[in-house]
Amino acid sequence: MTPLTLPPGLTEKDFNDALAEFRRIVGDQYVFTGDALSAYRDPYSIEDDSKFSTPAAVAPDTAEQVQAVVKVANQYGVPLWTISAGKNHGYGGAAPRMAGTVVLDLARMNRILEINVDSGYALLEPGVTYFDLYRYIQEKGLKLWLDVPDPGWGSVVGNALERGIGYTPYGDHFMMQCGMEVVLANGEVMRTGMGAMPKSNAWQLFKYGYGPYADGIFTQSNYGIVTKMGIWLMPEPPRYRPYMISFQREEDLEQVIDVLRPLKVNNIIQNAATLRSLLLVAGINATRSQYHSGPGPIPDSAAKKIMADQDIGMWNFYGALYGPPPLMDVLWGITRDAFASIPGARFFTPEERRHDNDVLKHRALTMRGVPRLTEYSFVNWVGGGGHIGFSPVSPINGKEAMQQYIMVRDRLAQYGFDYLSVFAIGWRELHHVIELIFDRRDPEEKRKAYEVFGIMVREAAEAGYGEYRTHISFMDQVAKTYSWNDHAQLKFQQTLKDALDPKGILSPGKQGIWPARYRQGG
Amino acid sequence: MDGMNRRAFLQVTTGGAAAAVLPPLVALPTATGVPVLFDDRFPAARAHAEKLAGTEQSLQAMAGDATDLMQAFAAGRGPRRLIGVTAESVPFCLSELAPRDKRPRLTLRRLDQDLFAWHLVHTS
Repeated sequence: MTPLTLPPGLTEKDFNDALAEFRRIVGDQYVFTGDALSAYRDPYSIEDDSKFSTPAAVAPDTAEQVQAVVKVANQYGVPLWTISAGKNHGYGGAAPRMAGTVVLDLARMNRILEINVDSGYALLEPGVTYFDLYRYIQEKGLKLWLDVPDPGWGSVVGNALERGIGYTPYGDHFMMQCGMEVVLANGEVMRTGMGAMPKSNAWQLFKYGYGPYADGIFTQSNYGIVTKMGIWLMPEPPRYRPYMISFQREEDLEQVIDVLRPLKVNNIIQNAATLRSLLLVAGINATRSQYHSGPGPIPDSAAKKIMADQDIGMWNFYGALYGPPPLMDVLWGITRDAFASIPGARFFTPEERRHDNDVLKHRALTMRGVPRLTEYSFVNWVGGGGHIGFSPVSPINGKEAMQQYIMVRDRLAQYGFDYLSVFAIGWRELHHVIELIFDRRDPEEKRKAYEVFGIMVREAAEAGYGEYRTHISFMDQVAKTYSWNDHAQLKFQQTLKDALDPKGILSPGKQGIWPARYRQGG
Repeated sequence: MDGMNRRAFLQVTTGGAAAAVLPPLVALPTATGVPVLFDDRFPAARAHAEKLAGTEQSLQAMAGDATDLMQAFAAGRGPRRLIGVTAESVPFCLSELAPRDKRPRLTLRRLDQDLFAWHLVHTS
């Protein structure tokens, strides 16, 4: 059995007394210790697992139970790390940032509290997954679409709170969030926005309410535990038409992005479309060893063979049209004409793709809000593969995209890793999500992955590119890159932390925000 | 990178069960009526699956998206046991999709660079 790891300053007696209280609140069968804690490890950890180990997990069923657990945690000084579906793979999964933190598992809180078809929203508990919500909507025959990330097995609330993204016009998940209920560190429960007005029927309709807009501080943070959240759902459009455009040369990236920008800013491209690298697309259906057995990144000859075998480009743009046919025809005409200016650009619909497993057929599902696990196959690119996400943000600017691409490609190549990425096109920015795939049973690969990741964080920040989200191993480092005016933002975040959570019990270290009691050496 | 390490047979047992030494490939636990799934996108998968199945088990090709299978298994619909020869993401997802307190017991054996033989059993 793994030895018990407790957080600094917590005695075993206090831990056991707190655990007994947790059992009284949620029931014996919902407090987990020992072997059951294997479900709370990061399957893709690139450090020693003990750094992120948990001594217990507790799974409440209601907001009232969460309040009671928090009050006990405050009494004994037990830190809690909140998860919902715990599928934040590539960023740490269900594991806590600080060893010894008890995991607060909200998966049992999986009620769909309301779906309003006329106004297009849902009110959900954190344990509701995309699969749950999709199944509910299908079973009821509702004319609403979700927006799903890929893979689609996570929590709707959890993903929005991490500011994750999807691929329909509703792809900016936190933008589509409206109203939340939060249990604070002192055990009080608060509702934000119009939910703070008793009898309001606009809680899921108007995001901002009155006064300072609080919802944002509960995203990527440790200021409170969200127990309910509203999210807007897209009405089913009259028609839907997905497409793919492939670009044949590596250097096409710059022109593709510059063509994209006005299309996106002017809403000609309606959805959160993506531009995917050759190997990210190829990896859904093939593995590296099928093309190259030597060390280092795959050579150009192998890349050309992959392009021919799968009929894909060095870059592959997946977009979709939504609306009545006349509108879609106009939008498509503008889009096609713009991209046709790039030599070698090829245009496809799903029906024109050769293979049943073609990635466009999969993306056609995700761009209409159908949750799938197909995308997860990319981890098989390297046998026994794990992944960790490096995710810098940039303007939608060709030169800058090219600069980021070359910087990352060359650094990964130096360490023997292939470049697999997606540029997710946001309202005004690119999320450049690079999947660093490594053999998770090879200690040397894990060591190299850890080293190169830290270098890329530093180099990207030196060039002005910050990450939008990161793995628990790098949260401190990334937080420190946001250093404008002597780290004014981090100091502000710590001030809030000390005010809202003086005992420092909520998710210590999340996004590099440490409570005062752990600040010097957590 | 050490090519031998990447091709070594490894055994991993998850889902709370203690690690066990796996018998030779042909004796990986099977049960009458449980087909041996294999991913037909990998030419070697069928060959491994045939060795695993022997003369007693049937083979079942499983190509591309296994989302529906994964959801059904995780929800306890369909078979209580699954055996397969696939890339690792398949048994990983099958196991991960189940509720954390009802994870199936997974026994895994690496066959080559990409393929794993695996056996999943519902424990709840």
